Amino acid sequence: MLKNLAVKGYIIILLISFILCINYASAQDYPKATVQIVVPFAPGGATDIFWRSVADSLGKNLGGTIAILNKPGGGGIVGTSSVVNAKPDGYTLAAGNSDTLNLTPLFTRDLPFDTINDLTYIAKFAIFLHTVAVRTESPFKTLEDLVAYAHANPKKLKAGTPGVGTTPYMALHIFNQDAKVEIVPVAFGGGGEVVPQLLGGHIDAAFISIPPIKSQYLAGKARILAMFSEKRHPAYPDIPTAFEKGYKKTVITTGIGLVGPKGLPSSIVKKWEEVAEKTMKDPNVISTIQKFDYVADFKRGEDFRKEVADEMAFFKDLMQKAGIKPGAKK
Amino acid sequence: MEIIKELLFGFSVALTPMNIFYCFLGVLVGTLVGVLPGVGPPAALALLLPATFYVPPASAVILLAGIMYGAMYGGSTTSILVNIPGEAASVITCLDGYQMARKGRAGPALGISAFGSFIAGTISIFLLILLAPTLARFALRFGPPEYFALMVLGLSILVYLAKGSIINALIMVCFGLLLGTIGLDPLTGVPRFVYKITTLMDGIGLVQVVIGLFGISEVLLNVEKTFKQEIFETKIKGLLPNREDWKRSIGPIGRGTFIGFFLGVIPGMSVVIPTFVSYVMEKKISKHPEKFGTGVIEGVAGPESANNAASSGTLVPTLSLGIPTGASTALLLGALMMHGLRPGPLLIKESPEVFWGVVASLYVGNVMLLILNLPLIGLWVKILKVPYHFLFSLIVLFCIIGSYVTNNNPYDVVIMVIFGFIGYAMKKFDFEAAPLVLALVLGPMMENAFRRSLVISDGNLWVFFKRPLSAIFIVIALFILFSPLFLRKGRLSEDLRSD
Repeated sequence: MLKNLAVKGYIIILLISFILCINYASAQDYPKATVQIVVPFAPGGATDIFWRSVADSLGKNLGGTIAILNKPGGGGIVGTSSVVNAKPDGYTLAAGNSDTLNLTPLFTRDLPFDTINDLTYIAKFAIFLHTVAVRTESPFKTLEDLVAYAHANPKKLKAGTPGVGTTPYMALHIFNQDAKVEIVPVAFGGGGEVVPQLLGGHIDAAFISIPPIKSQYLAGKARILAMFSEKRHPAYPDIPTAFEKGYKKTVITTGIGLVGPKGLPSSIVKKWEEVAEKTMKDPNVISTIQKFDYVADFKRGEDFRKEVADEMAFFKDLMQKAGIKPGAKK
Repeated sequence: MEIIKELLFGFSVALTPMNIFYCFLGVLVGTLVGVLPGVGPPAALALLLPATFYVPPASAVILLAGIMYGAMYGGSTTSILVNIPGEAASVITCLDGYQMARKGRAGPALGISAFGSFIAGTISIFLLILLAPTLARFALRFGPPEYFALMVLGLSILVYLAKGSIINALIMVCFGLLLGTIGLDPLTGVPRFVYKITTLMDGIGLVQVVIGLFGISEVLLNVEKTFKQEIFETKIKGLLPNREDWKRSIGPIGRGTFIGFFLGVIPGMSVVIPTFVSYVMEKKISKHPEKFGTGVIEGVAGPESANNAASSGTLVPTLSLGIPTGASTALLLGALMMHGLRPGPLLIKESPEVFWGVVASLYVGNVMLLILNLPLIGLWVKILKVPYHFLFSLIVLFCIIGSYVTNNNPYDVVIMVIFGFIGYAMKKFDFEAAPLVLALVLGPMMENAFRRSLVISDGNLWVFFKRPLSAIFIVIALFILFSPLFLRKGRLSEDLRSD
């Protein structure tokens, strides 16, 4: 009887000591294990490709291995929320795109967490730009053509978007307000789904990021009418921006950043900020991401958070003025 | 003649020692990945993608394509042996493959699966070469209305999957459709049946449902029986398909190849759908449809060929237009882009060695897989001789691993277990799992397509009939649905009258 107790007691002590061994990492020995970056989008998409192409260099600069995990769904919410509740030990982080953080919450009801305050913002790495494109057979040769037609035929043009709460989707709404037109959004599951629909003529235009449409553009099967940034993209000097055409409000890019669960030790955040800055200055990395049309844009964690929060306020204001309600059909 | 020259050039690329090695590596990893329940090609591709960075582009794509193929071959192994689909596409193989295994005919089942896949792969590669540009253009004609109509057609033939009561099958279809609504609404982002459970935001995972309904429930059922009887017949009747098997399988293999290839070309087509269409077709044309579900070789030969042909089919839009058709091809495109290549219409001009090298390696990969899999049949069959009380714990272990690994989400395992129990209850009351699974796949696709169609048509329901392709599909679907009322013969009409 006593022997039994002793054995049980021994086992309990063993178990407790195992549990106690799981301590929180300090920057010195971080990372001790593989750091997992959850990409809350499907593999092969723009964000996914970015993280996969920099994972190697990041890992080297960080001194550890980085594993990418895809958890798509809910416009980025499913994957991000899996990280919100993760242990803040720096081994589970998430790719935090600005649109998941400040747009999706405006369009999703019953969001289980606050994207601005329930996450640690680690760093911003780059931005990617968005476009409005048509297929070559389309009668619209320039942005002005599109706008003119849209003015004359409200709600007739159907433009595909990668989904409700994505940046191109918002770009469409901002553009509608700016140009005073009514282009109807049709939500698909990502840019990759929009492109065949555009090429097949099922939709009139597409508001998407560059990667899905790039090869079609280069092959002459599609025309990019404009990009939604202030300055022209360095790799595409011939494509005008909506801004320069007079649509001053339609400036919207997606920031690619890294976030983690709340309460991440500041030593880990600092280490990441250094790693991020170093990686985004590396010419090899820059040339790699430029292949996918990203533009390096490093910002420290808190600056990134401020940028995201400010943008969110801008969007909220815009939506109110335009009468778009969160969780609404459009 | 031009094409022969290009193809020979492709072989010269594919048959370099380095590329042979990569091909082999790819098919090996693919087979392993396929055998492990729940882990499919996207997971393996995603894992190996960064590694391909350091490898020349043609080799990278050869490796990745090999994985896609290998997974198709491997997936059927567990379906046949233990009724657990190695990945979603192998669900249909479970229906008759497993029953064959229980009758001691696992060897022929595995064999015809390997041979069927090989033949289908070979034929579809030629179809790919000859028809790629035309098919790719055809694939573009599928807009939301066409997808909807196709899904309706799919639903209408779902009932033919059932080997038991039709009414029960219909109930399962409805259940599957309802399950498919769980998650965030794709067009508005409003949560449906989510109850603030984050795992459910993306819907119930297909992999977890399938593993639970097929694998876990089977284990639960068998554990009951072991005290009373043997699960598998102890006398193994031959390791390879015999002449009779071949005679019966040639037709299904041929038909499966074409169904698989042409359906696979359509972007976004889940690989499950061509396999199920092949199964239903074989059942319909067979002289003994009531035997389907008890272990007929046609039920394995057709779907297995279809799923291999579909993998080649999915490459058509990918290689010729640069359009991803699913998670695996999206990753493949990503790999191409990572190497600075430009997938799309220009690929064949700018990088012919990649295009033709990959096409040639598909054939090489198929040969390798055949050589790899045939000797393994003997090994796999021996596994069945392990006493069930050891085997089942391993099965459950692999099920848990498989359902967890997809999303690294422990709640996925919970879902699998819940569906395991549901599946067990279903089997007790004679409800079949296959209609449920297919409805779960078709339902969301159909809904998305329907709603997008209506947005595009400004709410006009006639859009489905004004477009020729979708109209054709819907008319066929209506015909299939209503024909039993008019035709005197046919199990459906008899069932309707007796139920």
